[in-house]
Amino acid sequence: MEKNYFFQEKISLEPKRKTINFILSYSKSIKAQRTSMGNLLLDLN
Amino acid sequence: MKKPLIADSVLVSKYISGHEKSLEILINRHKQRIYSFIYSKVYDRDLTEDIFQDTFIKVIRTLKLGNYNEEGKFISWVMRIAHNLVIDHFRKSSRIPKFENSHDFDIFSVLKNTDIDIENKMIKDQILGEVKKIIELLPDDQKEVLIYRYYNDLSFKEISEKTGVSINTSLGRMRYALINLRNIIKKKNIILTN
Repeated sequence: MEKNYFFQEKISLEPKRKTINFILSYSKSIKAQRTSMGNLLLDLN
Repeated sequence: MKKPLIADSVLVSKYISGHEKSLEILINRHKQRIYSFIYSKVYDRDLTEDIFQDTFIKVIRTLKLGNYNEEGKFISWVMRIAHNLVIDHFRKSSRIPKFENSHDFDIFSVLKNTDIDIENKMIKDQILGEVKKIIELLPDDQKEVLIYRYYNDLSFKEISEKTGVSINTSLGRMRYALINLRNIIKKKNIILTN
């Protein structure tokens, strides 16, 4: 079959699921803690 | 019947008060717009993923620290962060010095003072030498992440693939590496600036 060089693959312009999962797990892994010097972020891992 | 859309500002408030699911809704609502915006500037899928990820890490940190001010729209704020990260990327990757388009062109900004350059280079080499010595004192796993990140300029995704640990573990190792570096510098009273 002849190749169609004008065919353009449609790419979905959105992040991969694993990128979103990483962001969501990062969010769950940190917690803000109030201190006398202001708020600090604690890594819960 | 279609459920009424919860406003971004409501989701942001809920997220700040600990409702993690609100973040997921916000990401899913705006992911295409933000991702397409970044891609339209960098034309590279992997780089777009990295910048998208860094954008939301910044968003999360700002929201959790309580530093977000509810003046404008959430999406405009996120797009501004993404835009700044794109600019940072181009600044970092650009090897060509740029001049501001100014009518007051200063020839001395182009000509170099060789003596000062040599002196600065010597100081810089000395500092880099000291830093390398301190890095040697770190535990191997922390040293590895730090060298990959700062000397080889790898992303945390690439580091995690190279070292066979998760991105979170790599981030954690980097964090401890930096804490330990600071402690060593403080303990040994090392001054790294001129």
